[in-house]
Amino acid sequence: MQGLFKLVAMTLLGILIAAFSFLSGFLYSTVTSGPLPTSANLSPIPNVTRTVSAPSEFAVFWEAWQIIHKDFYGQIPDNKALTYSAIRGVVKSLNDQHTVFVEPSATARESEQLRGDFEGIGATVNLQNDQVVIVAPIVGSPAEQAGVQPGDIILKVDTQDVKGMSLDDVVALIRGPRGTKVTLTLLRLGRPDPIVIDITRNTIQLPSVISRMEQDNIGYVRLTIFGQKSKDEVATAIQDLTKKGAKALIFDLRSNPGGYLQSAIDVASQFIQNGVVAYERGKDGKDQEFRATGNGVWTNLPLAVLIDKGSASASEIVAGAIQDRKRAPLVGDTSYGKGSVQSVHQLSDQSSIHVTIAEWLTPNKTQITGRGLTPDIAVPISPEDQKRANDTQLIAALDYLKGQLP
Amino acid sequence: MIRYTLRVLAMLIASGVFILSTFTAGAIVQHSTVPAFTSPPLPPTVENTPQPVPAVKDPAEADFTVFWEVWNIIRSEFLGKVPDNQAMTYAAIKGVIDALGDEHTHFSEPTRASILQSDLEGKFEGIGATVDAKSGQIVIVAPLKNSPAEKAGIQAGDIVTHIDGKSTDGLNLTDAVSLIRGPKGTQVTLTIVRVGSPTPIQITITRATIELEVVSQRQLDNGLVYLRLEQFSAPSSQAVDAALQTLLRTNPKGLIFDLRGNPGGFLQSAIEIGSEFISTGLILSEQDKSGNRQPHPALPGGRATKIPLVVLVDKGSASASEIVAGAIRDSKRGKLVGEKTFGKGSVQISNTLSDQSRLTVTIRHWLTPSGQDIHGAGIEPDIAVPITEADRKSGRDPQLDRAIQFLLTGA
Repeated sequence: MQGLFKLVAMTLLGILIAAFSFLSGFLYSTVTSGPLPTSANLSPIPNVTRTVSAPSEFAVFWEAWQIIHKDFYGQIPDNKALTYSAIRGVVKSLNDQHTVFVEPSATARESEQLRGDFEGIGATVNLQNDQVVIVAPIVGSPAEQAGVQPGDIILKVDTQDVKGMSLDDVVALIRGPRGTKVTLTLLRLGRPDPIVIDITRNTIQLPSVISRMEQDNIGYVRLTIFGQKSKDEVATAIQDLTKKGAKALIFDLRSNPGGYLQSAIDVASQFIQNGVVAYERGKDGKDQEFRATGNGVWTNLPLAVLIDKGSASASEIVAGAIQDRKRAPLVGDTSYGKGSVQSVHQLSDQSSIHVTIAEWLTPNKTQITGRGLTPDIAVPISPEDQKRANDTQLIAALDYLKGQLP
Repeated sequence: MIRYTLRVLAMLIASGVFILSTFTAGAIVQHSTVPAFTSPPLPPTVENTPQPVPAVKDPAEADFTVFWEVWNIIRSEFLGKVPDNQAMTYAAIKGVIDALGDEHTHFSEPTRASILQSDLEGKFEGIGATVDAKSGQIVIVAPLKNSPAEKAGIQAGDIVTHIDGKSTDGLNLTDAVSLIRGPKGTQVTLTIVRVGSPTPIQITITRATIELEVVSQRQLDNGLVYLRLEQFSAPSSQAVDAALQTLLRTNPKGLIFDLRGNPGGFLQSAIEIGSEFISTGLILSEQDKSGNRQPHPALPGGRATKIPLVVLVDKGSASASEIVAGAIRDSKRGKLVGEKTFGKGSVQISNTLSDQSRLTVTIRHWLTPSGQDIHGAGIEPDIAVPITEADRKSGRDPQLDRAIQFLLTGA
């Protein structure tokens, strides 16, 4: 569980993933402030410019701005930082935790997560005691092939000493277009001298699906985020398991913070043959229907869906549709409860804003915000079970499916 | 034109009302429960009164493209209620101020700005009661003596649930205060929940002009006199001057000047009041960003420049109080008795913006006559005397006792 959870929590930056900085960044903003079921992909917003008539009420802002620049005793942050801060002030005044402003570096990571790949060396890094440490190279990545090992401490990237740099900045140095080279100077336990390693960058895949065959021909597919490739990854994984003889399937949405709305519809369509998957209700109060797309790969055979309090947004769309349409039982804990839809706009400086534009409803027109979905088979995981990696929810799903098999 | 004046931020003297509450601990923290007090003790403030700032366009160096992108996206797409342009503008200003990371730089919307303004002037029209927000409720801390509130029967601890029939639920302190205040001669009806009273009580009060008592004075035994200053507001210098004139008539052997719990106020008041005790030398210097210093020497004509003097201070003595205490210490004019002071060594300038909102900005630091910047450090008393909760409860004042002992024995 722990390992799987990390996939979401880590962003695969150039080389890697910042396990912890990501935890506090992405995961937090995605799970608690909610990921992005979004009707729009990241898209530049047209025709807004600075000349867009500022309302007359805004004049006092510039008065305040000038006074601060003229008089303030302390250090004044640069204009960009002040601008971002002004934006955050405005966004905060909306009192909606899912409407958020995201700075450029976090926007880039988020869009990689959703796109499912990036260009770099393929290693997970973390900051430990102010040192940038390799957590692990990704299997088959340029980093692994070049001999980068877990625990290596990065001293230099090319000729740049990384001492005192932020994880984000170091990651930005390591990343680069595929085919280009980066030289890392590493300190490794047991080696008196630093090691210098040349690595050729490549495209690194960030799969959103993990699958395996469990006992009794029960297949297991876990989805960690609803990105652009998720539908294909889910379909392919299920088809592979089918070839291997799967007769029943567990679909694990635990700790999945969500992603694209369209991806949720497409993934739900793998399990639901036809009919309504969700409704979207916008400002005008009208309900727009989203229907199953057809051609699902697992629409009839026995199924169980695992959810927990980390299953949010797009995960809840899929789980809600499966529950309302009585396709399969939900097993686990009550889900997160995020029933709103954001549009994500990429802004002119590569920052982005997520704006709540609608709410979504399950096929029975239930609004789940703040309530979440109640599992059909409630199975809490105690801290003791968690410590022992005893996945009682998975066991309950297996038990249920065994009862469904002839 | 800059007028130096005193500013009492810590006390939001609202509708008859002080709000002294929140800084007992001298905490410099913002109080989320009491939005009216985002500002801590009272800075010496330079009052920059109606200084119309020329309406400026988007200054060329600031590229606000992204800001307007966000603004327009929110306006056109956001599902919930979008605040009006003014509220969004104020939110943007607050965002910028957040980025400065200075708790003494703050923005007040027009309503609050006008309440602050009357507080500074030392008088306002209202009912005369101190209020505070506790756990989301508006609570009477105490009615002022002889105020309309007291005469109408308002009591300490009363919870105000409605003001003229409007529920105080969800109202912040500033909003509540602005409803309670009003022109003299008009009436306001408060609905009060009181411990021991099974049903809410309705009390109608006729507003009047409330003048805040900034000084209190008395003769002590043993030929000593005592003068307490609550804040350095506009009428403070004159009030101190008049009180000294009265007290000194009897040729007392010593004077105790009590600045405990005094959050400060206007810089000019600090200079004038400091000059009552100090005849020569500096009261303070101001130092700007680039290190330029402007000295403020003692003004001539002080009434109490020779009498043996003890100043009482504690952690609630902030800002203008620290200017006076620091000057008296550095000039060896008197002894400081009590506890370490708050430690507020910055000076704010208060700007009224074109829509009557107010921007208070930290503009300088001030230094004691010897050149010390006490910001964050406070001033150590010459004679440290703690006061315990038990002392307070039983009405004992060991700090005052120690001050008396010092004046009588010289040790």
